[in-house]
Amino acid sequence: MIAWLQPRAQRYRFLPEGRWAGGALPWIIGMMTFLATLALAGGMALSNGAAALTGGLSRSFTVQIVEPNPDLKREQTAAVAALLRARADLADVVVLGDSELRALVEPWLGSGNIGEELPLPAMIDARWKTGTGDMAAIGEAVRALAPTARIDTHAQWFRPLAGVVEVLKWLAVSIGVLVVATTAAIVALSVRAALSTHGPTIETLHIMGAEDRTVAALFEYRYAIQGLVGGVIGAIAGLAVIIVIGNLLGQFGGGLAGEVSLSPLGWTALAAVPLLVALLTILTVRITVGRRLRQQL
Amino acid sequence: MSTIVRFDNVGLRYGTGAEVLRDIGFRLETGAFMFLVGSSGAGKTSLLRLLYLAQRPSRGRIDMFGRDITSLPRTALPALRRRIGVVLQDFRLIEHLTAFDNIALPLRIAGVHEAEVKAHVDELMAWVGLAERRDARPAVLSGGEQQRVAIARAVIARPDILLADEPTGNVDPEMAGRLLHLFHELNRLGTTVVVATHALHLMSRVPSAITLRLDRGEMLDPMGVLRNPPPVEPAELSL
Repeated sequence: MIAWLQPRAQRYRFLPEGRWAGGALPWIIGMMTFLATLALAGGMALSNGAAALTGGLSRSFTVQIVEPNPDLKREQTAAVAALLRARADLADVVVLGDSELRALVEPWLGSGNIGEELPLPAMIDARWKTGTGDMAAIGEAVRALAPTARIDTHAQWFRPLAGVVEVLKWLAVSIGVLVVATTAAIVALSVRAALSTHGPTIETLHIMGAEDRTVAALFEYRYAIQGLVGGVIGAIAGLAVIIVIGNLLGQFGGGLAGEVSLSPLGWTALAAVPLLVALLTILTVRITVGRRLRQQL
Repeated sequence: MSTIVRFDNVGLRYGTGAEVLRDIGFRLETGAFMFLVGSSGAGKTSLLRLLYLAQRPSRGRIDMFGRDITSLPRTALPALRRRIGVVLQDFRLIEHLTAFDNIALPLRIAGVHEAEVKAHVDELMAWVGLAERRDARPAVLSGGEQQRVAIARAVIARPDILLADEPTGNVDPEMAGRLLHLFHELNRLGTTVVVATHALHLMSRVPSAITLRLDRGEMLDPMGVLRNPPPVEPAELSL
C-alpha cells in the first residue's frame, strides 16, 4: 500500500502487522460479497423485469383475425392495421408476417410440419403509448371491420407473473440486507477479538495521549484492506456467475427473458460493490472500536 | 509557583469493591519532586493511575494543570495525557516495536516531525546507554534495559509531570543513581516528578523532595508534617 495512504499510526506500526483474524476474514467477506452481488443483480434485473411487465409489455395487445377466407382475411387485416395506425394513442402497430406466425407455431407442431394449407390467423401487435386505453372501444371498432377478430391484452397474462416477479424482487432485496447485516456482524466480532488481543497496547497508546481516532484509524485501515480484498474476490465471482446467467437468458431471445436484464447503471452498481463493502467494513470498525474505547477513560 | 496537581478528599474503588484509596488530599506545586512511599498494597499504583488519567476518582475532586479532571469530558483527556510522562512498573513496552520505536512513541503520537524524532531519540538513547540496542525488541532486552527504554519513553516528550512507578527496581545501584539523577535534572528544568518507590534510601538523593506516605489506601501524616524529610548527612547518601 502506498505509504501516504496509510494513517500515521499505521506507518509507525503501533499495532503488530500480520494476518489478523487468521487470514480468514477476507474470504468470509468475499463469500458474503458474492451473495450480495447475486442478490443485488437479481433484485435489479427483476426490478427491470417488473417495470417492463407493468410498463411496455402490459401495455401491448394483439389482435387475432381468425378468418378462413384468405382474401377476406388479408382485407380485414389491412383495414384493422390502418384503423390502429390512425389512432394517436397507439404505437408500434405491427402486422406479423407469415414467417413470424410460423415461428410462433413451430414449437408445438415441429419444424417443417406447417404447410401452406394450414390456416393461421392474422396477428397485429400494438401498444398503448401510455397506460392502457379503452380496450372495449378498440374491440368494438376492430370487430366492426373484422367480425371474427379477438383481442388479447398482454396484461391479463402478465399480471400474475408480475406479482411473482415483484415478490422475488423484494426477496432479493431482503437477502441483500441480510447479507450486509451478517457481514457487519462478522466484522464487528473480528474487531472485538482484535481489540481484546491488542488491549494492553491500546491502553499504553492511550496513556501516552493517543486519541480514539488514532486507535480507530489503525483498525479501519487494516479492515478496509481486508474488506476491499474480500469485496473484489466476491464481486468478481458474482459477476462471472451473472454473465453466465445473462448469456443463458439471452438464448431465450426477446419477451420476458429479454426484459430481465441489467442496465448500464446496474453494471456500474455491481462494479462498485467492493468499494461499498470496504466502506461498510470501515463504518462497522469505526462504530465497534468507538464503542469499546468509550468504555475506557 | 502554581499548583499542578491538587487532590481534595479523593476516594477510589474499583467496581463495587472496597475503597482502595480513602480521603486523599494533597497539593503539588509545579516543579516539585515527590516520593510516594508505602508498602505493597498501600495504594501507590492506584494513586498513580489517577495521576496519569487512567482512572477517575469515585469521589472527591482532582485538579491537574488547573482543570478539574473529574468533570472533564474524555475527549479532553488525551491532550492532558501528552503532558504526562509515565514509567510503569511492568514497563508496558510494545513487544513488536524496537527500542527506538518504543521511545519514539510519544513523539509520534503527538505528531512530531520524523527528523526531530530521530534526533531526540538517538540523543536520549545514547544518554541512557542504549545506543547499541537501537533496533533490539523488548524480548531480547534485559530487565534493566527494558526499564531504561520505559524511562526514556516517559521523558522523551519533555512532559510537565513525570510519574514513575518503582523506576529503579530492576537496575543496578549505579544505573539507579543515574536514573534518579536524570529525574532530578528534569525536575531542575521544571518538570514536576512523582516517584513511587520502596527504596526509602533513594529519598536522600533528592533533599528537596517531599514525601507522601500511604498505608492501606490512606495517607499517613495527612497534615504534611513528615513530608519534608530532615537533611541527610553525606555519609548516608549511599544506594
